[in-house]
Amino acid sequence: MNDSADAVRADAVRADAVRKVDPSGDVEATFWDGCSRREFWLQHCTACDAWQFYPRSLCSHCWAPTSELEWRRPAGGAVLESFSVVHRGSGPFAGYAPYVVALVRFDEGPIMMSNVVGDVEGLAIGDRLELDFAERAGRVVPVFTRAGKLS
Amino acid sequence: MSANQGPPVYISGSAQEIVGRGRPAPAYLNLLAAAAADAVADAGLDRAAIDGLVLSSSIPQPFERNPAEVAEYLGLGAAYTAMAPYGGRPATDVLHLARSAVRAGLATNVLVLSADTFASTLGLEGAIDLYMKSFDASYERPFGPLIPTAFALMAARHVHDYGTSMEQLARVAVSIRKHGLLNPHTEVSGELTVRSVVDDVLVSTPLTRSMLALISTGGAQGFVVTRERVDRRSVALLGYGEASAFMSLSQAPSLVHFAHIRRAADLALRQAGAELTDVDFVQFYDPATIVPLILLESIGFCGPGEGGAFVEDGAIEIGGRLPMNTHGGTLAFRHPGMGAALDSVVEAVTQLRGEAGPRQVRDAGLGLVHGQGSWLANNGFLILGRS
Repeated sequence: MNDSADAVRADAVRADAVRKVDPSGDVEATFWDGCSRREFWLQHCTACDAWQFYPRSLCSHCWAPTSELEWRRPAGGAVLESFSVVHRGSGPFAGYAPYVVALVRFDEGPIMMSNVVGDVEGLAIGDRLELDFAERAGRVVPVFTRAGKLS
Repeated sequence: MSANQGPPVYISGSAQEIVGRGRPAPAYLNLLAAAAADAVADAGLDRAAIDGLVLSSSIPQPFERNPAEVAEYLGLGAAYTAMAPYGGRPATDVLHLARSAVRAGLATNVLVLSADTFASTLGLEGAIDLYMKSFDASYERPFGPLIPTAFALMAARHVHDYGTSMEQLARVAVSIRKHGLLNPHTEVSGELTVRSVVDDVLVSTPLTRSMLALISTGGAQGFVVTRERVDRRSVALLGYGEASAFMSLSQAPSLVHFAHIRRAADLALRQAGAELTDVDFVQFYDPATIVPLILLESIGFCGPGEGGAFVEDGAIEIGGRLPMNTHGGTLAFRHPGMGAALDSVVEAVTQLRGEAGPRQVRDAGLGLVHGQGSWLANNGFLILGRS
């Protein structure tokens, strides 16, 4: 367990790192383990050359099995597909309002829900974004900032 | 897609249990029993004629009572029983399940029941938190979307792609509020104006509070679906179509136009042997004012991006060319939970019987009823007709 964690850490310094998807592993846990180290791992299918988010145990495009899937790290560039400023946070989010919930399209193709953080004045659909991470209640979550703006 | 699939079945009994704004709802089983008794009485049938029960789940407790337990509680005796317990349902599906049971020969007169009471026990905040659990625990909830945020993300994109205005988004609420004020059981009061809707409190941009559904403490609906037409008040169930295409918003092929909505509506229309131009009124699930615009466009009542202009001239008002949500919908009648779309079915039946009083659509002969699971992810359309 510790050995493989160390191996992942060594991989993390290389942006073009590739890892096989463990057929008996929990892809959701693997994804969030990566985030806890501020690494975003996206699944890529070697059979049909498509990316997918969220991670799965098969390719949702061609149904290739887990053995054909690999984890890769996207370049981190993305486009804002849509966003909403939530003014009335509920539950654990009450203290964050107003905050931006967004649908973000990676340059590799997949879309994910996330938050846009930092300077969001004048934020607009189509804006270029960059992947970042934020820590909330002891958990590291992937977020985005506007390209060229500090969070 | 197959065309007309045999003779219609009939909705011969229809009932709606009213709780009232902010009032605590009766216990779940009390509501179900009242809906059962009222629906059978409305059909003019003896309860001994009921030989089937289809139960809709309620949001917090899908297995609070299984359908056989409810049949036993009601003393139905030998009966076919089924339940639609899964999440993301379009709610209108229970009428389809009853029709299927009748057509398969499993039952002749099927009671369809739905009740929800959760906002009474959980309170408004608890209800909002419960609704938020509809989002995916791993890939959506960590980012804090409210239920309105799902519709806000569609609205923002619609504004961006088509130039839809805040005023157009407001106009839907203004028109449907007019209808709600004609409903003696509405949980709202007072007219809205485009200005008052636009200037209301922002919940999740661009949507204001008046562009969003109510949250009600509870309610129930009951129907009797029969193989034979009981009398002239029986309404024909002529078609049903349903299709899902995603659940997480990140997986939606588009945020503004949905082919699976067209598919589901077309299936229902083809079964009924009807065209869109035959439809006299629509009852759309309306959790946010962007949803009716998207439905008008995706079904094909107007072209992509034309929904805003479609509603601007009052077309969706009673007396307009396509009256919509003549009971007030979830924007201006109530939102009791899973059964919200079944309130739309009750209204469609009332309209087709010509019993809608001051909100009656003239010469209402054919109605389209929409139910939705989770932000347009799953859609079920009923075509109902005067018999």
